[in-house]
Amino acid sequence: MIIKLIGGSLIIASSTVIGYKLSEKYVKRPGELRSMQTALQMLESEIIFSLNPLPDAFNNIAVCFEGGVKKIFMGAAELLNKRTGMTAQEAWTQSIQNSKSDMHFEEADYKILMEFGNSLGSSDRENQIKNIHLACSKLAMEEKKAEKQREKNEKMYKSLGLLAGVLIVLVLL
Amino acid sequence: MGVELIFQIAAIGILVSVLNQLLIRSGREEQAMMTTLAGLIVVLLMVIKEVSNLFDTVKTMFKL
Repeated sequence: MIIKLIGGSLIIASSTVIGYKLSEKYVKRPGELRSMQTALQMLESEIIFSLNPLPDAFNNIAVCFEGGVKKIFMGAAELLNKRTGMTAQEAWTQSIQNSKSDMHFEEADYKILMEFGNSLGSSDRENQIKNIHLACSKLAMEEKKAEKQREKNEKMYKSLGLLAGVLIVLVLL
Repeated sequence: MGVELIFQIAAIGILVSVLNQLLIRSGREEQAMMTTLAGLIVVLLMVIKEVSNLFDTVKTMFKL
């Protein structure tokens, strides 16, 4: 009897944790999209006002953030600082690839960032500003969508995990 | 065959209906229907032994 009880509670606990893990993706994505937008706006002001070179600008931005966004900017700055002849676009793309495991973005979000990277450091100031604005507005659109998805999925995954655990225990009992 | 079986089926029924409501509210009607169907099948599998038992009893009763 006691073994059954322990096993049942283990199953319920693990399925609840799985549910929370699955909902985490939807919870964190809007926040990350928002901080990415802020980061791009900071990059804009770095380009307009401070006139910093890209590695320094990236470093300045990286210290203001946490998690995946920090890792992307940090990685790009490091790659550029190594001076291996990498273009800004290559460093940006590779840095995004490296920090994919720390982010909760979807393919569409990565695509926006990659497109933004295409003109990074390869055109004049006005063009880059325009490009930052474009990327920001696209990210804002994705953020709205992500927020909707979060509303739809967060609660569902959390309660689904718990209920599925209870159901499994009941069937096995 | 005992009272536990009835309680178990009742609990599964309640849980499946809650799951159904949850999935419908988050706009996943297809999955909701699938869960209901899965619940039904599970309960049928649990009951089928008893049903065959009943048939056997009836058979022996009328010496078929």
